[in-house]
Amino acid sequence: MQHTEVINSTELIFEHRPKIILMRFLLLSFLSFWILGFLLPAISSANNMMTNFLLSKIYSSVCHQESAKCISIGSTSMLVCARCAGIYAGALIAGLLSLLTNRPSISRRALIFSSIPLAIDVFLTFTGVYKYSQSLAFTTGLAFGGIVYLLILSELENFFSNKPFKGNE
Amino acid sequence: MNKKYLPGLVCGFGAAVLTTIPGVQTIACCLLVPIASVISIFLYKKSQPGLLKIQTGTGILLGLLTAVFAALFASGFEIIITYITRTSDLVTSMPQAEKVVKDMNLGPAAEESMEVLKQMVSEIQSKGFSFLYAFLITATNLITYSIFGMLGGLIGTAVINKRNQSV
Repeated sequence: MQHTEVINSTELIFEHRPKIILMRFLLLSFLSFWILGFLLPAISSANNMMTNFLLSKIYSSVCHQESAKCISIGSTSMLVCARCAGIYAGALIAGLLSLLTNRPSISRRALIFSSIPLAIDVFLTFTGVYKYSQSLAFTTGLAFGGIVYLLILSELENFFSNKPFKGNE
Repeated sequence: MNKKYLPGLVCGFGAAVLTTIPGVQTIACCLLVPIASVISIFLYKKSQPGLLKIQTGTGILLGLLTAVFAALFASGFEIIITYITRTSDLVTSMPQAEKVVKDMNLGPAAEESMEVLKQMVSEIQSKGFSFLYAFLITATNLITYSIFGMLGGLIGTAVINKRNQSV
């Protein structure tokens, strides 16, 4: 019985393999594009005020952009804080690694464990136990971003293969 | 009203209210809309007791609905606050931006975009409303919130379905 299930799931992976690889590339490309967006003012020499304003507005709806909490490259800062940059960097690393693996399987426990350091860091800096550290915020975001990316990927793959997680609506 | 709209409306409104409270975004950051989407899926599941598993498509749709409502309410709140106070973050950051353009001599493209920004600032200061500014904040909110809402919908579906599996 169990053996048949394993064969079925392996068949399912190979059946949907091209679709899954394409989807992983698309998701990774989208993530890279998003990361490039918040890095652009820091790495680009072109200074169009309107573009900078638009980019700043786009990222301001998903990040507080406090200058003291943003990583600076040269004289300009990124458009997101160190924690968000860490989350996206973690997602990018997970995205690259996912191209080499078969099917990511992330448990709810992994998500909870990865969010604990982040939540503790937010709580301790908010209550003033210690001062905000960009490197600590970046590191705690890194693990969380990676796990969240794999969870999204696994759910999207279930969606496209459409068999194991079919709802009963 | 369709049962899918109600959790999205409630959570979207809640997320939009939280974005206007100073300090909340410092804590929740990019997780505010995804968290609202997860709660929306949880509420949807609660409203349908016979539902064992939620389809991924439904999760994404609920996340998107929550995000669209959040974006519309958040933009509305920002437009109202700008109208009442006759100022916004654009107005406060304008002198600094002008100084950068003058100091760095960035050329005609920067000067042209500066003129558009100046026009928006003067409209906000005189009338409290700039159509271009209102359009820009609504469009940017709709784009970013939709992306993060759908991602939150995916995470919520995975978490809630896994929770049901383990029960």
